[in-house]
Amino acid sequence: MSQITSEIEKCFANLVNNNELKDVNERKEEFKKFKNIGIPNNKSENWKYSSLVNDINEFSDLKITNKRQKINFKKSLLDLNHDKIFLVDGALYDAELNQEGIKLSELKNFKKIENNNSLTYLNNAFARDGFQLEVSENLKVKKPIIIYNYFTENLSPFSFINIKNSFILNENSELVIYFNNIFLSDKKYFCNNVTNIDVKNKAVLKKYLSHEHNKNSSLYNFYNINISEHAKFEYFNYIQDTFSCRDEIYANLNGSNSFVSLINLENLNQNYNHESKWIINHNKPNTKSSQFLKSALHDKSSCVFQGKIFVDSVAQKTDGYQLSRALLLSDLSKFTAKPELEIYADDVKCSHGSSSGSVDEESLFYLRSRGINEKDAKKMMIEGFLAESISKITDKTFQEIFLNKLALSNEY
Amino acid sequence: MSKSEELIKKYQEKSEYSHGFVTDIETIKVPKGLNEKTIKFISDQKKEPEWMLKWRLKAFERLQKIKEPDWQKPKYPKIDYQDLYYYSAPKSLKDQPKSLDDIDPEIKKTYDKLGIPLEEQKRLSGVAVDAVFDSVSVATTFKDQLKKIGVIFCSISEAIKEHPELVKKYLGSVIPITDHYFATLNSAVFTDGSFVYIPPGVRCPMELSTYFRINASNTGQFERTLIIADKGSYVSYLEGCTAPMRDENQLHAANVELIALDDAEIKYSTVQNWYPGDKDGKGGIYNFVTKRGLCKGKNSKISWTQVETGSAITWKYPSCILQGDNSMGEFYSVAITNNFQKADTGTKMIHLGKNTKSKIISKGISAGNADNTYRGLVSIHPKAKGAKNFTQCDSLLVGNKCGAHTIPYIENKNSSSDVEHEATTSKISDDQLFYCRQRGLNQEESVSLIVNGFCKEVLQQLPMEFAVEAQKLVGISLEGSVG
Amino acid sequence: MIEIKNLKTSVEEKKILTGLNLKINKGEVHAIMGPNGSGKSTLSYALSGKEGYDVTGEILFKNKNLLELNTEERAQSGIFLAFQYPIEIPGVFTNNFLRTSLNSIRKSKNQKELNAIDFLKLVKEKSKSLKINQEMLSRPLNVGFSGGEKKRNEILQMALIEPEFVIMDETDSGLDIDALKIVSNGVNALRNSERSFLIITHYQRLLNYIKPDFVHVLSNGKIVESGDWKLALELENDGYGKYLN
Repeated sequence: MSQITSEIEKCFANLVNNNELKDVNERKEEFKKFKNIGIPNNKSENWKYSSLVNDINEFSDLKITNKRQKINFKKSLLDLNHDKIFLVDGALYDAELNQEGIKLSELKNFKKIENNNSLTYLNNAFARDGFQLEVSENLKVKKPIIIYNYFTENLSPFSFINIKNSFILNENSELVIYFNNIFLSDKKYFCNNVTNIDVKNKAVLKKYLSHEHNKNSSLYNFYNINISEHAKFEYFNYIQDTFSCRDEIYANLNGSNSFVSLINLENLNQNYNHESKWIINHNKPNTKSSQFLKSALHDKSSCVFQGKIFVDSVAQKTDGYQLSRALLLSDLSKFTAKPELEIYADDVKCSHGSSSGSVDEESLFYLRSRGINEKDAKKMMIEGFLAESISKITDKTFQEIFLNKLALSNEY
Repeated sequence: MSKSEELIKKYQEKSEYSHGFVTDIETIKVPKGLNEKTIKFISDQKKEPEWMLKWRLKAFERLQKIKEPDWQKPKYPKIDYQDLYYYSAPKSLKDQPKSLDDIDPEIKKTYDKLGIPLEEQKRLSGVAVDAVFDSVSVATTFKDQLKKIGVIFCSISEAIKEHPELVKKYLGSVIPITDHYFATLNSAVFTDGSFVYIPPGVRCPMELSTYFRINASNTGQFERTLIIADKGSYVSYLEGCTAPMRDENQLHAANVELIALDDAEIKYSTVQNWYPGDKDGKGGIYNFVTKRGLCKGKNSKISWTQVETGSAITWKYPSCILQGDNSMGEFYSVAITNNFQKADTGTKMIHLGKNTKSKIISKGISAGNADNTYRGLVSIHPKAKGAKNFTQCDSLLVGNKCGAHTIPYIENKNSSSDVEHEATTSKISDDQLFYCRQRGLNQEESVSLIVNGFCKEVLQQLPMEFAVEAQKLVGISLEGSVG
Repeated sequence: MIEIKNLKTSVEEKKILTGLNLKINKGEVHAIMGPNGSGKSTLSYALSGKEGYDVTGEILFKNKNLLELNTEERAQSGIFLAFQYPIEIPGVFTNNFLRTSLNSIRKSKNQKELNAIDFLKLVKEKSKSLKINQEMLSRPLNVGFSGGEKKRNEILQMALIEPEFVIMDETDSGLDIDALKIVSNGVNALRNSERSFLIITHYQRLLNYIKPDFVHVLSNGKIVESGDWKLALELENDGYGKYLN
């Protein structure tokens, strides 16, 4: 047994000894499943290129966190008319929701997410923190909800955080969410998040995230998304300098005429790395999906992209699209891609493209011939390259927010 | 029943494999089973030197320590390696025939029937053939003519005896005996195959080719091919294969090694038409082949072209290791699967040297209940400055009971290199079919035309003699599958 | 304004220009015509400083040795190349690009950089006078632009930057008559006694709209004949046949 697995076992024993813990038997059952597989490692195909697993396998100490402390929220609020949810170290802390028909509740009890993956089993066994946000039928929520998630100094080093959140959009409802991760601490910890999303018939959910300047922590984010008839789900993740992070998304198009769009913008420096594993299951006819990833890799950074379009034999008239592009900006940066198609229906339109390479010399020349110096021209090209991700966002307000963010981030 | 379904049925009934006959001859077989005794028997039959036997036994020792891989998409029932014959040769060939006149007329007839006459005067003058029947090489044509310009073209068994220095130096240098299960198995029990050496500066004046024929039942075919193109030389090599229709699945596990030195070029083309099994998926060849080329010298080039229409399961990745600076690797592939056929094929392009280039064009066509996977690796190592790759993978599905999959692995570790990958999946559209038919083609011709158009980029790469054959094969393989 | 002496260029050891001499004074419009492969585009790249060309000889621009300057320094000192095939750069918005370009050039001349508002005002004014649809500016640079739109975008850039020396590399190729008029009106509007033009073209058509002071024939990397605008007409009738071989 690896060091990390025995640490996790110790943590679980501590958790079970806590008298207040509910659903102990179910949790034990899930923990058993985790132990059967163990902590993932690079030998399995699924985790072959993962830096995250290397990273967590090096953890020699782990603690489960209990205490959450108040912090000053006002500092980082966005200048925009919006509702707010505050999380501290992943757990629900406070909220200001002034719109009717939105139900926010804590998610403390055992909730099972099915996926044959040892980290989701772990989450099932451990998670006691999280929330559920539900939007009632026919409600088009006017103001966006911004979730501020602060990772604070109060976390002890080597904390092991398991969070489970759930979003339910009932029929014909609409919502825009911005999940803003704010790293106030440079401590090292491992955060294992599971998010369950249900987008019911004709509902539309736009979920935007940012994940910036995480200097030391390892994050694993698992999303299970079910999308019903005529429903839409849009996901955008703004990633700037994450120490170690893997986002795994399973989007199931379970109703005809449903649509999913996944977008990543990655701007990585130093030895930071990010990996994405996106799986889109076209289970019904006339469904549409789009995957779009742009990654600018400076210094020793690396990006891994594993994206898959699966088309069931009944899912005729599927339209599946996937594009991943990386700019390698240093001799030590690395891009690895495994763009997969698995198709069992014949009347489909599926394509994927992947490219990686350096800044285009022709374009650079064009900019320089207009008097822009080489450094600025390069910066402009990188910004333009990344901005393409932002242009895929359909909410204009957030499009602007992210464009501004990008322009500011490039000022170095 | 829709129009397309009707057609599917119609064609399925008439589709047949025209090379499925059996030649009735007496054979010598080693008793079934995979063991040292078998290996010694093979080596003994071939009158091999001691070092060769030792090499085989080393591979066998390794084989016992490793496991059969199971990550491939097409699954198959466990192969009982002890229930196979590892050597089968026509009795009449026990003593190497001195000339074509000594060859059993039955065997000669077999090749005539397959359209590969062994008599030189009957052949197209541009192609020299090494004919392999089960486990042995029957005849090699134009050998003497080639010898005059220094080209060595013979069976590998002969090369082991006649050119040990070349074989010792290069055999296993691209596919080491420790490589993976089937490659190691081949190293232990390979029976025959072709050997080619092109001396420096020589442009081989004719196409060289091997024609593989499996005849005996319950027999695995393990051939080994080694091609060395010395500095500044060029060779184009063709490979064809067929087998009788049998209810059992037969294993074909070949190893092909190519070595190109400075400024040399090797073009390797395959038209694979092993028996694919019947329309219910019974029988057919398991084609588990390891093909790998090493661009060892600077400015060298290796180009693989394959048209895979046969076999119950095709599982192979003809690859290029681009070691020499400015070397180039190409892979052009058409894989057609129909009925219950399965294919998991693609390539690996390993960029090690500076300014190395690779190009991958893969066309997968899946019909009936078949399953077709492209799997490939493009790896740009940190030292491969200025490396470039372009990959295009297209899949065509005919009917909705089949599958088409694309699994590329792309690893770019060099900022001055460019890697481009594109893949699409489509079907033959009704508009295209209508257009062709409006111009007077029947459904069958239309499909053949459209599919051939879809594969054009690849078929163009084949030498003339093969291109025509391959085009016909593309049409025939899809009979019974119009969508 | 500019004086080119014995200009020789080669790309990967292939010789293209083989000793070209040309002098252009302030306010003059010169046309260079020549058959395909004569080195026309190479000349434009050698003047604008594209990397990858081995250039020898001398180019004096406003009495400065141009060959010592890199691409952007040449642009900042007043050289503008209107590209034959303007480059598409996805994700870079046209107006952002224009502003950055203009401000880089202004900065190099110690002029005040324009803020967003002033810039927009300027662009509006220029595009109106050139009859260019402003909607183009909010799209990524040249991406999805028609051939005509791309060339108009080049002209707009030229009008904004107000360079002293303009090289037009086959600007007329692929343009319909309306677009050609917009382009040539743009050029003519900028013609004055302080600004010089070098118009590179294969056909005489463009020269009906922009009347040059001098016409040169480029063949095998050299200027083989020079004359006034009538030379262009002769070429239109007789072709380049007599200059080949």
